[in-house]
Amino acid sequence: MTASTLPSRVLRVAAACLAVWTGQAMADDAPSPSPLPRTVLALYDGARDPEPRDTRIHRYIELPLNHLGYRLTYHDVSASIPVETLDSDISAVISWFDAPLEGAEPYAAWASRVTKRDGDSLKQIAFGDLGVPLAGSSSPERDALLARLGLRLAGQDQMLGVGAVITDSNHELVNHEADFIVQNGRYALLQRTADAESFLRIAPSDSAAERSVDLVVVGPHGAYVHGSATLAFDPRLGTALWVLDPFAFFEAVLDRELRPIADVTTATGRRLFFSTVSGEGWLTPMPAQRFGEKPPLASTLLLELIGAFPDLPITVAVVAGDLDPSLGGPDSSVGRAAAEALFTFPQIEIATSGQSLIQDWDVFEDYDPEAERRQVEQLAQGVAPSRRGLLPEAVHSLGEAFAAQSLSSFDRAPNAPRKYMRDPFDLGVEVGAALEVASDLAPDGRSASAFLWSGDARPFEAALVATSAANVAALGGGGGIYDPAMPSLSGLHPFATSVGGALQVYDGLSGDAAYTNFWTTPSHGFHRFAQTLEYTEAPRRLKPFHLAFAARSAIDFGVRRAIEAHLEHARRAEVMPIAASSYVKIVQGFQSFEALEIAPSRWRIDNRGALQTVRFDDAGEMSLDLGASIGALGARRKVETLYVSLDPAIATPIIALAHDTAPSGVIAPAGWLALQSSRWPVEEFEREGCRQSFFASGYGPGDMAFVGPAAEAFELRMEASSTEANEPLYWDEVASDPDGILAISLPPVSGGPVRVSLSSCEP
Amino acid sequence: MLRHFALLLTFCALAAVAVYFLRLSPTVRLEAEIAQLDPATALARLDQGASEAGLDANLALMRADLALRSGSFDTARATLQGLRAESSLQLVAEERLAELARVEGEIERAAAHLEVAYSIKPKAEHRLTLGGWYRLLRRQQDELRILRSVPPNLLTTWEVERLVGLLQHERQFDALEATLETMATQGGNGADPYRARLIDFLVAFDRSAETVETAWGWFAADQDPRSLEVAAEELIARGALPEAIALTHYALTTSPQTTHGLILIFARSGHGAIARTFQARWLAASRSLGEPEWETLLEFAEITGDQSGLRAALEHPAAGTITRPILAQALAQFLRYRGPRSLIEHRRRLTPELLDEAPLIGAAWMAEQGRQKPLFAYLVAATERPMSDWERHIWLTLAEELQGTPSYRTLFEYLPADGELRTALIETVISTDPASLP
Repeated sequence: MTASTLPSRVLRVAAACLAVWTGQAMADDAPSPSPLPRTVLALYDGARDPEPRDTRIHRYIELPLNHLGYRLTYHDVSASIPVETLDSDISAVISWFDAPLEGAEPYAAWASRVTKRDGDSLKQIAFGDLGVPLAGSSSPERDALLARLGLRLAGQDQMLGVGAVITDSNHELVNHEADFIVQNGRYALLQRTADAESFLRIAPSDSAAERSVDLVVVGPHGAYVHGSATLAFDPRLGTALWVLDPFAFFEAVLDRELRPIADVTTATGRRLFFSTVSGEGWLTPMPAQRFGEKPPLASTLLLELIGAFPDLPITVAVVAGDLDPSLGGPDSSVGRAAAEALFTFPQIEIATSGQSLIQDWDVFEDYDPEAERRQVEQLAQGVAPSRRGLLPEAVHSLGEAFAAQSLSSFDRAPNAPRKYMRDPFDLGVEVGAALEVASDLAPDGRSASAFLWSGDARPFEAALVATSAANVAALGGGGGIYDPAMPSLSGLHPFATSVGGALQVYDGLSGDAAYTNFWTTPSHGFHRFAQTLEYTEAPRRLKPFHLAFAARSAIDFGVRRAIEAHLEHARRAEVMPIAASSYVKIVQGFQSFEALEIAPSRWRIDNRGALQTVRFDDAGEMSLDLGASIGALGARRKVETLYVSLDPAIATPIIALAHDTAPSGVIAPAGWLALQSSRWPVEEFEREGCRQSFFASGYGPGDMAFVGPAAEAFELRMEASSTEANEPLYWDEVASDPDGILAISLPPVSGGPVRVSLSSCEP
Repeated sequence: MLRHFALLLTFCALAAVAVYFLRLSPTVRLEAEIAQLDPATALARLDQGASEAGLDANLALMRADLALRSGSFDTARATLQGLRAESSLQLVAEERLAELARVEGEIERAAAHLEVAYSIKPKAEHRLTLGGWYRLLRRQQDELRILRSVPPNLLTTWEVERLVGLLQHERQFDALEATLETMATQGGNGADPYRARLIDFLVAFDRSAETVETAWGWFAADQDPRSLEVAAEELIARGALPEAIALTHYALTTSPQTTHGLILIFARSGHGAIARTFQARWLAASRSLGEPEWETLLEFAEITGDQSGLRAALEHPAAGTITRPILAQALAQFLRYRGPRSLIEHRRRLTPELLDEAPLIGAAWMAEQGRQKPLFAYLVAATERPMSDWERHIWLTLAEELQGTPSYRTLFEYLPADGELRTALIETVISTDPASLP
């Protein structure tokens, strides 16, 4: 943005802020509202699961809760018992223990008394073991905890065997991905309390109903799910299938009145698209077709692959060590040239995966160079020539004879904790210096803005802090597959994980490595990714469209074709392309997001950061009241879900809904245009009489759709934001259809945002 | 000259014939050509070849593979379907059609192809995949059929569990019983869960009377008392106490040397009186007491606190062969429940070697005799060995005998700085002057 336009934009933003302030002032007449509670306190037993990211709550429950708008904070009850009076932001407490805790008594005492500071309702939810012994003498604390979960102990344990029967099963909550079958064994005689509802009940036999055991119970203050009613692991499928429907369960347990939900999958009414390329295999040559041929490197082929999609943003990470001739060998100069060429593309976001391509981050948390050396020695012995066999050894030797010489420790030990270990690990070099190397490759002064976690993508807290300190967005780990062959929600990871006090933002979806067994076989496996895209879009849009792949995939025919097909799909699909770093900021916004109900069906949104979409579930009879909202660009209805787009220029927008079943999901004052969808981010939307304008920029053509007055003609102008009312970059006459839909397509632009105006004024 | 010319002609003719017959067939030429092409060009060349003269089976498979990798699923499918007609290629064609359908997300179709492949050649990997897919498709009867396509003992452990669970869920009890019987009779540790389930099955269907004979049959086959213990445990858990008693009675009568572990099953499940009766009968009938028998006696005492069996065993004619560690454990049980005075009746067994090996017994014996110096020495020696909770308690009780003597404070020097024993000992003297402790 130039200085000439700055004052006018500042004035516009200031005016919008004033409007918000005025709206707030009006709302402030009422008692000051507090943010709607959206934090779930997740309890775990650190004696069994060392870190939150190792827990089943994180692995299986956090995603459904994230989708419903909840963020999780974890507490290790083996280290300490939480305070008895919880913050008002806590909505529920959830546990999933394997066995009674070591400190079961103090835990039971706490769990039977815990409340919220504001006195509001607190839901307590227990999956699996309750953490307190059920056998033996009763205690008031234990019984009080059971009552909070909607349970009572009705007698001694009992054995359930071949005669066991399912006496009650509610299919809305159970038999979700897999049918429940009784597991024989000893069961505590837990039965629902009078004010609770049972959704799954089993009994020792048809004639022993009085000794029935409730396995899924929802009460007014909490809920309980027996371990056998949670997930069923099936090694034939390589996944765990949900017996319980986690969405239906949490919707039944938690307070699910209409409320704004922070949504990380959508922006301007479209599914987010971003793509990341890890530096894995940057210097790997394509297999030679003829003897003596010098085949191209993966990075060179990557240049061709990505170059064909200038309309799609792609975040490309290099490994600094690969580009250093003293480490990467003679091919590093070719790899460096490819990186330099790639980084001239405007759609490329510059990133790094560090200096030495770490595979096992745990090794470097408490780093001991000697221990690392010993580990690699041992791993190298595991692939000693004598163990390889004659033919594989011969092939290996031949390969080494023709391969470019590098200092890669993978040549000696493929499972080494990092690729380049000539120099001792140094977090400053791994993050800061590697980012500098990547930035130095950019010819136009751009700098690296993202860090993609390599290997097992389990960075330790200090590594996460280092990327934050370097002011770059870090991404990696998590992801997931969810398709007809692995049709379980359990295959998807949540949006992020907390590591110590830091936040690790996960990949949206798993990339090529997960579909090809780390680039081995099947080469065609990554075509399956298209199915995951479908399964994560409907019936719920659970994840953004994140296409992740490695540089080395450019040399594999099957994977490369799959990537091309997915990029083609992204080009055609109704997506909102963004850089990966933007997604990281959106997930960070999800964490800090707060919604305050300032009046019935009217909410103020605070601290949302870069997150620009709020979602309303089960909102088929509600629409966005654009005239009563402040800072809303528009809305879009998808079956029963309403996506509301927010103006990034407005820090604290106000969203108002009204009872209306308009197919567009918006009701607006006469003459107003409401944004339905846009391929480009839109901001600073202004309506001045018959003229409406906004700023926009993006990748590829600027396809947009608005809803407004029917069959109305508009003059469309697109101007560079650096000029005021000069020669437009693009001009057209457009008209809305009889349903009021106005579709426009702006030509691709580069060099920052443009100002777009739509005028229906008489000439 | 003419002859030379004729020879030359003949040679040339032969060479021409040889060249003709040894020429590469178009197929081999195409294969050689394709091997040198990049995959995309190779696929295009194969497409061209298919439209012109057709491809042989090898090239067709190559084309199908490349088409699948390139995402040309229709081409891959058509090519593979063309190969199904050739019986020698049907298996591989069906396998690849199944994989193609899987990649397309068509699991129903994938299962149909893999089912054909499995019928041609029943590979375990296909059985596993098919079973999983039928579960996804909620075709439980087909999943059961696949799981029952081989004898249960050829299934993976997980598959057997799944089969048994499904049969029980579907209430196909005849098949369930047959499966459990097969698994129960195969022996080894892996049979235990199925033996327990079969006992449960027999009890549930009012066939408890068969349980004793069934369990004894397992024992007769492998001579492993674990089979009887599993059966007894399950019988007790299912409330079939008379059958459990009958089985134990029969076992202890028939083979007391190997089946005394059954006594512990009753002790552990809270049937102490029955266990005590069995223990007494067993001891009376036993001619020798080896280490396993002593282990049973010790564990019985540990579980129930009843040392009558141990005391009787020490008076047993065969007790003379008892090893020193076993004797020390037996005496420790007496010490635990009856204090140092209990050692008096066993004083002839308290040799210096035994006391050195079991210093806690040594300390107790010295405390009983009021000999503080050796008491101190044995207490120090005891700290060098791991102790259970109750052994620590005994140690602290014995240490109190030294209170008021210089040795008492000296004990601290021998205790680990962060040990529980030291903490407990400090608590006994904390009211005096903690700062003065070493």
